[in-house]
Formats: sequence, structure tokens, C-alpha cells
Amino acid sequence: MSNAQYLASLVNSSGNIVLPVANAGIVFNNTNTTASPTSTTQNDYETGTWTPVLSFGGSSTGITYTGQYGSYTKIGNLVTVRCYIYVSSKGTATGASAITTLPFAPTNLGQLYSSVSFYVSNLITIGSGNQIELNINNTSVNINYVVASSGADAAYNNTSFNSSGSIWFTATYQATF
Amino acid sequence: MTLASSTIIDRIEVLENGVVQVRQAQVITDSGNEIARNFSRWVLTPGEDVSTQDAKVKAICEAVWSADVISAYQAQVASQAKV
Repeated sequence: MSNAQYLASLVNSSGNIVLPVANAGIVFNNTNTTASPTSTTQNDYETGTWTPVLSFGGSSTGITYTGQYGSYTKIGNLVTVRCYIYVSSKGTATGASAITTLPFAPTNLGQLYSSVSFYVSNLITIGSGNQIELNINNTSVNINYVVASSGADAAYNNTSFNSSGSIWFTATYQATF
Repeated sequence: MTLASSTIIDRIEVLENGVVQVRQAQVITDSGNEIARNFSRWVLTPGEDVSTQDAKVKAICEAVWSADVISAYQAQVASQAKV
């Protein structure tokens, strides 16, 4: 079979190009002569949805929502997530606040946290002079703040949350798979 | 033309640290021929309650999540904690 015939055989009846081997991809710059994907192999693309969950100390006891929406796009190992939650009750759980159930586990990059672009409406009492920050670590989006008086990082907990309100965010991070 | 929709767990991925990534697919068929597939995903961490998960997901989590895997994951989380 010629190269042209082989390439033509990858196109299915729907007109899609389907690579026949799992994890196979497009290799750039002719740098990969092995069967395994490398850092120059583009081998994944996927879109879909996820359901963001607010938690305190890893628990979501009593938390209810008016809306919970998440979507993602994964290109190679880079994942972009979009999230909107409207909380109608913050529940009774205690501990550090976070949004969990990301669609892909982030790579462990030590202290190299992924930053998050966000907007918070009425959900959190930020505190005078404090600076709210969201970052991705492990499998959660942590909801933290920089303490005005000391400059130290701290986590918002249940008592800083109002009974209802919303968060929107968009974040891009590196996946482990 | 007979449209039908079904939901399946079409991918369960186990990462090196024991984290399990689950993909659910909503499959739309027309007279038995698939015309669309939409994905929804979530991540399960070692030691998490999986009692409400799909039976296959639950079985894999229980098989992978030994006490050692859970404690190693908890140590990883603690080492990465920002606050």
C-alpha cells in the first residue's frame, strides 16, 4: 500500500480521520521515531462537561445549588476548564474551601500552581484588604486569600461564605494523563 | 428514524498515584447507528467514598486503593498544600 493509499484508509465513512493505534498522534518536526508518544506528539483532543462541587475540608454536607455547570477542552496534556456554580445553601461542612471533581487530575508540579481567572458574586466575605486567590492543586481548585496584615496565604472556610452566591472561573492546567 | 440515548462509562483511567479518572458517554443513536457521543468526566482520589459510583468504577477503585496507596496520596496532597 502506498503512503497515499494508507492515509486515505484512515478516513472513515463519516469523513473523520481515525488513527488506528491507541495514543498515536501527529508528530511534529520529525523528532519521534519511536512508537511511544513524546513531547512532540499531539495525541489527544477531547471536549465535554464536568460537575463542579463546592466542599469544605473535603465534605459537601448540606450544600445545595441553583446551578452547577462545567465544561472542558483538552488539547494534548493541556486542559482548559470553565465553571459556574450558584450556591443556594453553603451547608454545614467545615475546613478549607475548594471546588472539586475536576475532569482530569492535574500534574504534580510541586509549587508550580496553575492560576485561575475568576469572578465571585456575593458568595464570600473577602475581608478588608484581603486578596482572594484561586489556584489549582492536586484535584481541586482551592479558594484562598492573602491576609492583608501579614501577606500570608490562608484558606477561606465556611464561616467566610455567605448563604448564597456564585463563582465563575476559567483555568488552564497540565493534566497527568 | 428511531432516536435513542444511552449513558455508559466508556473510560476508566488509573493514574500512577492511584487517582482514577472516569469518563461517562451519552451515546445518541439513530436506528442503531451512533450519530453523537458527548462526554462528562470526573476524578476520584484514593480513599474517597465511591459507594455511589458505577459498579465497575467502584471495583477498580477498591482494587487499586490499598492502604499504602491511600497514605502515599495523602502525603502527596500534604506536600503540595499551599496553606
